Amino acid sequence: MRIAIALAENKSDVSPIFGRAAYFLIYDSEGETENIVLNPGNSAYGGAGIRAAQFLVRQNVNVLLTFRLGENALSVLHAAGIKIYRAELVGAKDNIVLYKAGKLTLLDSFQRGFQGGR
Amino acid sequence: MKVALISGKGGTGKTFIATNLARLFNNALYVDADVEEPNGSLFLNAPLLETQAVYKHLPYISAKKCIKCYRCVDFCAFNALALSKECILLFPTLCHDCHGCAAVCPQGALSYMKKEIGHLERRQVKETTVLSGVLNVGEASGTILLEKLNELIKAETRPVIIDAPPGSGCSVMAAIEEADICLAIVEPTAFGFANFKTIYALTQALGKRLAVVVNKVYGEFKELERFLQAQNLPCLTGIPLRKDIALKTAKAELVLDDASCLGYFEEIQRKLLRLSR
Repeated sequence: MRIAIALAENKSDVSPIFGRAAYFLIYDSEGETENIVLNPGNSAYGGAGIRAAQFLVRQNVNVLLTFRLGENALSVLHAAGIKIYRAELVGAKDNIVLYKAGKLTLLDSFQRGFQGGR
Repeated sequence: MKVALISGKGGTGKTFIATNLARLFNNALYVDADVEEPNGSLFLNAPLLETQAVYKHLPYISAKKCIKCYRCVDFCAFNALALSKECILLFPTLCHDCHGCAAVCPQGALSYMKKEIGHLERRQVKETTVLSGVLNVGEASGTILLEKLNELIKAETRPVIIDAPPGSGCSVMAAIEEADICLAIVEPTAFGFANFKTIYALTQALGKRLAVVVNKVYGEFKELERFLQAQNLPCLTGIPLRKDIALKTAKAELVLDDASCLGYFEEIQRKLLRLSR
């Protein structure tokens, strides 16, 4: 099982945003390994959420922990069957502990897709 | 002469000045390039003569031919495509119609479908032609409509007055492409001045000539005057903040029949012609 969390610049807090989060923390429960990787969505011109979600699909992530998510990213994650849980206001690693203890709930509200601007 | 009226923010009076100026020119082509909310034809009222649909092309991927190599997904700078397990996802409003995805596909799996994103409208009031771009509600980008308008502007020999959208983004850049002079409509306030500086930077970056009309003048705003002087930017006129002008404009009426207003537009016209010589 691979769990991803949108990470803030300081690499320890959960990012308040998904698509343009600075990093993802990817935790693999099999080897109990953690990896911090750059989020390619962070530097996207547009469609940052889509790029970030596409990245997680290609990283074979099974679960995403985040505060919020847009509809575009949601459709990419859904198509890959990735489950999305609402992160709590604690550090990223503490959120993994909460998830493993079954204490997080599924994210059930999503931001309307902005879908590009001028 | 091809002049584009621009402003860093909305509501400074681009349409007010562009439509009155178009009427004054008598034989001008007025182009409403504010395709998200084109309202110039309300001022230059005339029967609609012709409409022309404008399309964009959306990629369509054949699931049979696709080998899931991600080349199209990685190529798209706007992330309009995604590949999620067995699903190929297209986000139509993000697509910029560049056809790059088809060019990089090793399988020839991409074809295109046409989607109407808006239309052009042509009206005629005596010698004045009114051309409006109309973007469909829900579309994210009107740049393709502006490219169509630009083709027509390019071929035009009469004076052209382009009523640009507000701001300093992609649509403004597209709207001023064919203009040989930009006319910034500026409000003499701190907010108006701050917005003006963004379009000043834009016209500098694109190498466009810039002149200014100050609209809704009341009292003095020294900072703007000093800036125009320092940058050597011609100020063609200042139109005062007047309730009667606002009322007429709110009713989509022109103000040229008012002798006290006519002078401002004649001054703009005279100076524009001199500048574009």
